[in-house]
Amino acid sequence: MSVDRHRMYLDIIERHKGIVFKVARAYCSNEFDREDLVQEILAQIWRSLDTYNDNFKITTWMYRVALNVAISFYRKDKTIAYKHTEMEDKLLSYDMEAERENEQSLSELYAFINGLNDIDKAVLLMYLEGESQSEIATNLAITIANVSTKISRIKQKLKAKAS
Amino acid sequence: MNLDQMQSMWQAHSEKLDECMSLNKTLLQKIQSDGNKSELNKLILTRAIEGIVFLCIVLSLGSYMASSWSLTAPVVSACVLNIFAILGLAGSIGQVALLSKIDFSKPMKETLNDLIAVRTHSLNVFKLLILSAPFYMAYVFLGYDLFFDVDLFSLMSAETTIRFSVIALIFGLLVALLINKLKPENRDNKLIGWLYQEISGRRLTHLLDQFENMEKG
Repeated sequence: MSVDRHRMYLDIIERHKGIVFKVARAYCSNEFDREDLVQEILAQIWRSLDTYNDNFKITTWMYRVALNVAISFYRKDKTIAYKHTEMEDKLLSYDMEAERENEQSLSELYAFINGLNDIDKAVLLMYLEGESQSEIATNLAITIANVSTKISRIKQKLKAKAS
Repeated sequence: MNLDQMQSMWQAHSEKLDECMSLNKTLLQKIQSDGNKSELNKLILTRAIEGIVFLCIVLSLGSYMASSWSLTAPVVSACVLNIFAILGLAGSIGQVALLSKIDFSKPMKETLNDLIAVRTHSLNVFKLLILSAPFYMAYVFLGYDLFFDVDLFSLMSAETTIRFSVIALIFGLLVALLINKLKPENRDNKLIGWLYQEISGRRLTHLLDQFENMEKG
């Protein structure tokens, strides 16, 4: 294993660990499943590191890997709490206290995202992250018109929920 | 809450996350050094082990055929079983090749297509392998010769041979029916649905359908 590659990996994960956390929380409501998904995403980022090039923003590339892992490998309704006896061994620890004042609204936000289908989730996450519609379209390999339609439908769902 | 408010909240959440999240670097290093623990690598390893098992079977059957070459039931049985073992070996090699090609940094639809290709290939290999079911007597003839040094076929009466042939024919029809029914549109059937879920991956197929419907709409 090259030292440079190893250092680059640690640096990328340290700087953008939030992406992994957000994707895992958006795709798994269960804490045990989330930890499995975090591990799988981090393993695939390590495996795919050689494919990264400067044509992409590192955050866009990480979103691609994380979302692809989330929609393909993770199996929903996996109730395997017995597999994890020690949840202290978590890759990403999150201090809930720090966001206590926003926790209620954040939980609602994640609940809304959790309720969407897998592709809408991916579109919304990238949209919230500030990616342009053309970037979202490239990341999903769909047309900009489709992204635009998806975003309009998400807006309608949000409106319906609010009313 | 509208989408713009949601976006502002998300940005604030992202900034806060960097402050209140910590990374377990020891565990992370373990993931790097033990890459085999990833789901994809586990799959590749499983398929590679399957391939090695099939290779051992092909070599063993080949050696048996070479050492006792004649037109007897056990040798013909070994020949038939070797064909299926070779199919299994080719299937495992194909699976390893397709799985190794999966690149999670590709656009989502392309990654899904690659994953569906793995599942479709796996389904086709399964279809080919279950074609061996009508030849179940080949296992028996070969087993008797290997363990008891007896050519069971030569001792069987014509009546017994006909009975086993009829059973093989029924198996053949059942397998043909199953293969014919093993299509996405028959997933409502309990057995077909279960087989699809196990072999073809219902969730991935459903996701690809979502992409295709999106393009049609």
